[in-house]
Amino acid sequence: MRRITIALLILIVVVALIVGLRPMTPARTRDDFANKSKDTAESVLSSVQTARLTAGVGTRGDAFGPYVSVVLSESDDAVAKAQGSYDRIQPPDAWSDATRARLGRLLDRSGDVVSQLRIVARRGELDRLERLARPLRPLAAKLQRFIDDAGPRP
Amino acid sequence: MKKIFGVTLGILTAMGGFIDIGDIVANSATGARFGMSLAWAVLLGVVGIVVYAEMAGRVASVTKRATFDLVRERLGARTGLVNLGASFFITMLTLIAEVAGVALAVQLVVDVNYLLWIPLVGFAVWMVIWRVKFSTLETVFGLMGLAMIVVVVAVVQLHPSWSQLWHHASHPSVPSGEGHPTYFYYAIALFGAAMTPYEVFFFSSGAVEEKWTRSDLMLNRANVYLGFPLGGFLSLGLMAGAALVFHPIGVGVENLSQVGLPTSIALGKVGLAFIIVGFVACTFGAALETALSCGYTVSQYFGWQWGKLVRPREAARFHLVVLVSLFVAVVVGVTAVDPIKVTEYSIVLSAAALPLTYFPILVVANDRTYMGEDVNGPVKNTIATFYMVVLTIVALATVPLMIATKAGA
Repeated sequence: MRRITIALLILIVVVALIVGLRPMTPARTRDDFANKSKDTAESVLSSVQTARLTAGVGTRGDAFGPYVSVVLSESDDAVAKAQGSYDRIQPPDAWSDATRARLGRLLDRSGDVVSQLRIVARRGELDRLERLARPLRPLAAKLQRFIDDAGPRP
Repeated sequence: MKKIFGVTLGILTAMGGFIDIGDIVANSATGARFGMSLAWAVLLGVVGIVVYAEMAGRVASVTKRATFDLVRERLGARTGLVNLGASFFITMLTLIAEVAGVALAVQLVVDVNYLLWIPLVGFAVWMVIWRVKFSTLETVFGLMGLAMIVVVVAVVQLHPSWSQLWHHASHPSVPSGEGHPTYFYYAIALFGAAMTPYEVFFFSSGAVEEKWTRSDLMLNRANVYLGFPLGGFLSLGLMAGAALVFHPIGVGVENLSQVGLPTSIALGKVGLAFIIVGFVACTFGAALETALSCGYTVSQYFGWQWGKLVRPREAARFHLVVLVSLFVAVVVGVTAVDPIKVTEYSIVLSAAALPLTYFPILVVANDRTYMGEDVNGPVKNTIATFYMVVLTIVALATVPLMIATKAGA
């Protein structure tokens, strides 16, 4: 009885650990795809806003070069990871195709700008960051609009 | 003068032990996601750790025995072994997170991948444990940990609406777009981060190592009543900084580097320098404490000679456990496992195992054969029993909430 209890506890913890890794599962329905699109947009919005704030402190001289470079590299990696995972989700219908295309454009543009910021920061040209980050503000607004529009559809 | 220094030393130790990588990340992440609406979970955790750390310190001072020594005696060899397995696993996860946390903090200064720093950090932790005196270790890392006060200065410098911050903290509600399960999952993470078991393992073992007696009970109280609340205050500072800067614009905290941004925005390079020093001090101090706690728990369970003050030759098995634990932490750390994910698991699984650690302390603190006239009074017992109920509910709810929310996704 004691062994069964211990085995059961270990099983529950292992399941929790696997679930906690948040594997990207297939989207079988429109609602499912809408939710995954929203999650992806939220994740990229977070990276875009982090990059925007970091570019600001970098240009104003409020942060050290290596720090700015690390934050922007991590933001760039996060956008790439979110985009890669989203690209692999199969859209179940035509509405999902349109959603995928709309979000895909935002992800591409976000990835381009954040990558550019990372490259410039690594070269130590911190004074250029704020100007290069200007497109991130409208991109963040569009991502926020996408998030507000997203969600389960009839 | 010596006593005043002793109190100061203890305050610094308690504060350094309280703010570790789990607290840094969990408080900042919840501030960014939920604003100040989970401040109550930090307060609940601080009161809990104060109550139980005071008991653990008192038990150690009176009986000259540390927590795990009593766990085995009160729970029996078999149940004690299950407890040892769970506690050691969680402390090991925390050690991995702390070693990686130091490496991540160093990366912020030199921009060289943190994976390259992990073996050096592991070696440095081992060297400090092997060569540096217990009191020096406490003073240096405690004092450096005080650099984290900069997060509170940064919050003031951000000129927040204090009434709004207070309103959010004092009228907790689930923000729109978030579900109740996710809200409570993060509450458990904060609670687990505040009451991490290694804190009492280290605190009670430290009291035995420093040969505390009944005459040191005031010192014990001063350490606990001032040190842990100071740590809680800094946790709230981290939460408030993230709530002010990140929450309004939808930033989620997923990296240690992001935690420094509110301070950098408010105070510039000087503030950033302070917070990075604070990160290094707190994570390095916690790495020392968790590595030692691995040795303490195993040695105390098996009845081996243990302690930093004992010559290594006389406590060879204790030092071997510490060394092997550090080696495992380094090996797991360099596999590129996400250190922030490990941190999340360590604090949430800590929450699931809390009663295993704290129940034996409560039992012994009420046992007159051990404690004589220093047993718990009725007020302390009421609070401790209330917390035992909370700990049990938290332990039962943790894993189902983890599954239901996909670990707070």
